[in-house]
Amino acid sequence: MPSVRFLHTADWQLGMRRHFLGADALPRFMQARIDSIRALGKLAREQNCAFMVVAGDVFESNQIDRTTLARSVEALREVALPVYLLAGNHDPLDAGTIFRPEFFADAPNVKILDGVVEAAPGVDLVGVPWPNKRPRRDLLAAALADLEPASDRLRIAVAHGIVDQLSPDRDDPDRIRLERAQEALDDGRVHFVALGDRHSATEVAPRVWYSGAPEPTDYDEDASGTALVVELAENTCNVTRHDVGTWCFRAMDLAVDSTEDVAAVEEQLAGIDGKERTILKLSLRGALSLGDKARLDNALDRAREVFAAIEIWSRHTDLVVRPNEQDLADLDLVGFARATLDELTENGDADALALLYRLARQEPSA
Amino acid sequence: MKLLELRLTSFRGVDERVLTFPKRGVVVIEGPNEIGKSSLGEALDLLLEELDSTKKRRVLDVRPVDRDVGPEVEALIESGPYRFRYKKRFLKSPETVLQVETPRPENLTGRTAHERVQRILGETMDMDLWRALRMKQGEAMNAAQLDGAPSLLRALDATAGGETAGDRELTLFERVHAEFAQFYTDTGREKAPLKNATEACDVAEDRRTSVRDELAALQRDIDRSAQLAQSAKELSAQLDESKQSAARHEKELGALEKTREQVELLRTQSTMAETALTGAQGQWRMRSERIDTADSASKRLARLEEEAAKTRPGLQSAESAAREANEEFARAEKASVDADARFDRAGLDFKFRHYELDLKKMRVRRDAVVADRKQRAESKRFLAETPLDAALHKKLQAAYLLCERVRAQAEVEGARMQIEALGDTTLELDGQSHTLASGETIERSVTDASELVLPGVARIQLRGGAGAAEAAEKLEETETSYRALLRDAGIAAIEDANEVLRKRAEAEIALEQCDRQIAQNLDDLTYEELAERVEGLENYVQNYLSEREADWPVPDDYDHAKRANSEAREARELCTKALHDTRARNDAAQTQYRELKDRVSESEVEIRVATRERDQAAKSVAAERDRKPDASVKSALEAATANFESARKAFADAEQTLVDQRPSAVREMAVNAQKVADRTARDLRATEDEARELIGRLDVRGSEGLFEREQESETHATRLARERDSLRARAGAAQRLFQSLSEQREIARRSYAAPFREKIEQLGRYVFNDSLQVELDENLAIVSRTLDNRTLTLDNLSGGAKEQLSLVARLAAALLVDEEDGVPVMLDDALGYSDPARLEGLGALLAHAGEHAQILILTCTPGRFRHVGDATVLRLT
Repeated sequence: MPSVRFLHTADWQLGMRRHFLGADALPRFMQARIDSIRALGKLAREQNCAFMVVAGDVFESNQIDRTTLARSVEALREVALPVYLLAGNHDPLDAGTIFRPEFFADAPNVKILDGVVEAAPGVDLVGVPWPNKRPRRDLLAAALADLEPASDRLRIAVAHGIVDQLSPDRDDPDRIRLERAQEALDDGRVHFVALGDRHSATEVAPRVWYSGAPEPTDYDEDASGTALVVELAENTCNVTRHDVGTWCFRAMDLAVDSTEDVAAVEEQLAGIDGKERTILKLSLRGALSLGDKARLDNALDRAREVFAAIEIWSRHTDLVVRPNEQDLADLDLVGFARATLDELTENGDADALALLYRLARQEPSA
Repeated sequence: MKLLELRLTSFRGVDERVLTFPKRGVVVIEGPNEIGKSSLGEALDLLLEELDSTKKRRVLDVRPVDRDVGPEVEALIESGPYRFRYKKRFLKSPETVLQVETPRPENLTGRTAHERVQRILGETMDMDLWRALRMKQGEAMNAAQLDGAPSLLRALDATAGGETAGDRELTLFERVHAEFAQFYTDTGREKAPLKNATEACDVAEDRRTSVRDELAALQRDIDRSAQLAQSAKELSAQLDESKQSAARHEKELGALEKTREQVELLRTQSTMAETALTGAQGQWRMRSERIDTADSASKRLARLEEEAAKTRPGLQSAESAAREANEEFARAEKASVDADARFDRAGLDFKFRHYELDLKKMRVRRDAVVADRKQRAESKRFLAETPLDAALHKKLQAAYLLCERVRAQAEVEGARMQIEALGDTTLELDGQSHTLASGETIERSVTDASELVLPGVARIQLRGGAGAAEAAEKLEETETSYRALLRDAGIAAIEDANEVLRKRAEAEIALEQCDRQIAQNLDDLTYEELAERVEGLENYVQNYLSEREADWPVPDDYDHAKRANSEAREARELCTKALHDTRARNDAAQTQYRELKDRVSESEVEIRVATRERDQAAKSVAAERDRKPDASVKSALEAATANFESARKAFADAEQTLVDQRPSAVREMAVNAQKVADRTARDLRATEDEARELIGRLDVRGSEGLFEREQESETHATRLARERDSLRARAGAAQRLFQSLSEQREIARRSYAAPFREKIEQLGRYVFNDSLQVELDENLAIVSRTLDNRTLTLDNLSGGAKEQLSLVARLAAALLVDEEDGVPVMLDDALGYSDPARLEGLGALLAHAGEHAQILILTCTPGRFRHVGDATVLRLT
């Protein structure tokens, strides 16, 4: 019985965009996903992997721009190892599929997985691609049902989709029934199940793994930016997780009620590394004076210049602005201007107050 | 700010001029036109506003025309804590020199000096008020622009009891307005940035929708392609299946065709055997028929001869019976004729006796009619002669009773006379003699007059009174009427009336009875007809007997005649019946005889014919048998029959085999299977064509990067929406802030406009009268004046009034501001439209204002300001 070492990855979603990214950050974000191919190739070569399997959602869509495809193919070519691509729910093998051999002609090391293929001597890959966006059946179970136990070969099932144990939707017909996969592992029809779809690296069961996405895609991923090196034999299976992600999605819940809190926010923001590849989503809660609010706005404006993106999570943001004694002293407004200040304060009109604060404190030359 | 001294050197037409001014009070600077009064204000403006290096037109304009030197201006000014001397020379050897005396000495030159003065003035002087309080030549009628003067506003605010709104607030207002004006027009309409942001969002959204639609269409094509692939796969399988089915059915058709050919062969053989059988049957039938014909002819001849032998004896007896029947019929015929004659005679006799009886009855009826007609005539005559009838009788009775009542009344009314015979005596009363026995009495009433004669004794005349006479008279009238009625009735006394009336009733009854009996006897005839009938019957009866043949006697009476007639009828009927019977028997006998006779004749003919036929048939049979014996013919028939049965059975079996193979169904199935195969092939081709077309389209559309375009358009739209929202948030904040600020300022203005208005009205009373009222707009400008309850807008006021109000407003402002904030009020050739009366008031007003403010008046009309009490007059020459 042979043994093999290979790289398990998935959910590259090449061509993915994020609408909250600015004109500067978006190209970098997209390029990072292509760069991750090279990083994965480098890792695979360093780890002496025989090949690389990508368990679905290689592309964000079958209808991505051909430039993106060409750049992806070029990066794949540079992997310099056999790369087996599987079609997932984002890029199914339908009539509009992007997995057409002519598209990958420049990268002869790339193979499209569809059925059983020998990836290394004595090692077969059982590719279970998505035929369309809604197959409405457990594709892996169907593929495994057609197999006979392999006595002298290693078999690696490569599939895409959520396993029933992790899916809250019991009526989802596309779910992978873990029990069927385990039966196939138990009776020797396959020896490892390489899964894609879940962006966080997860061991679902012994020899059943999600590799995680090499670059994060959203705030709710707790273990993305990973790839797995799998060393597999009939009786042994060692899986090593490697962090390969360069971008970061981070949600922050900030309570700001004082000048000190604002200063703390400034420090927190300043302390984050890799700002240009970090996307923040902030929830702001509390009550600030006009001066503190202006300082916070200023801090956020400065942060926006260096972070990839900063979103204010309006649904979870509740920031009240109330002028304090210092504000009143700073502004030193009397007459109708003071009456306006009082009225806006009473109305809780934070934006108008901020504007009043800014204009009133402008230098005369301005 | 106070102007304490002003020096002009080489300034336009002025070589050198120095003017000094008190800190407060009115200074009137008089001089003729073009002496350079206006240059004073102009020089001060240049000094305070322009750099010495400037080459602006306003500076070039003040160069002296006859010398090549630069114009110089120097002023001594106090402003706030500052007192400084400030000098500038323009154009030629430009120079700026500043000497600050207080609060601490400073000596500065050039631009530094200029900027220092700017700062000092900016810090201590209300430039807006300075500009507003100047009435330049030709601008005297314009309203002062006082709303931007912070010092005035401060003063008004303080007067109104609020906190002072100072430069910071006004500057803030301008900044807020500037911020607001970036997004909105003054009327609140959105400006280009907002509009453009919204329009850009709409365009981006349309673009996103468009790309999404394209992507959705592409996805539909992909889904359709999958459906077509599945359809093609299914159709291909169906096509294979239908082709196999068509081949199978084709094979069945081949087998069916072979069976059909076998059936046709056997059908031909069977037909031929049947034809042979028919021929044999014909031979045998012909032979049999000929034999039968010969036999039949022989049998028929024998039967005919036998029948003829039976018929011939019957013919003779039938002839005899016919003759006898004929004779019997002749006899019956004669008896019938006799019976008819007898019946005719008996009928005539019966008629005679019947008429005779009728004659008797007719005569009785006629005689009764005659008698009744006579009785009737008598009764009619009696009735005609007797006038008394029931009605008249009733009248008579009434008249009689009336007479009796009247008479009784007369007796009562008249005297009563009673005569008693004392012995037998005779006397005469009223001419009537009475014999009385002794004791007999006569009572009589004396109605009118009575005369009693005792023969021989006395004549006693009695006379009634007047009432008696009247009663007697009435009695006489009544009795006269009564008697007239008696005459009408034709009777003498009432006692006859009843008898006459009874007779009359009898006559009426008789009359009625006669009529009834006459009608009864005449029945439906008239009397003449009855009489004519009687006469006719009498003639017939008399003639019949004389004319009748007297072969036998006439029956004795009607009854005999009737009986004889009945008997004759019965006899005749018997004879008639006998005649009918004998005729029938005769007819039957005659017929039987004729028929039998005919039959015998026919039988003889038939026997002759049958004999001939028998002979011919026998001859023919013999000839046929000579040619072919009967046995040969029969064996040939049997052989043909067996052959045909065999062929027919073979054909039927084959035909059944064919039916069992269901040829129609097999053929239909084969045709249908082929059609199915053809249709499936067409469907498959169409599906494949559509799939190819779709694949081609997908190749093109798939390479367009629609997903990324869609993502890009969404990113773009999202970004624009974010920018738009951000812009709108900014604009909204600016709008709300500006709105709030404007409203608050307006509230403040409303509060301090009142003291300003009051000050104007207070000062205006110097010029107008105590009824003066003014209305201010939001910019503190006068918009209308009310005087003596008459209100006019500023536009409708005269030039003089406008000018006066303008001055009053300026002086009100000058007096309201804090003295520290005050600036000189400078009037350049003002009040040219005011009449002398108003000028007097204005003089007093200016004098009053001069107590608190510095007022500089430039005029070319010395007398115009002579009413200003403590004015300092400087005359320029």
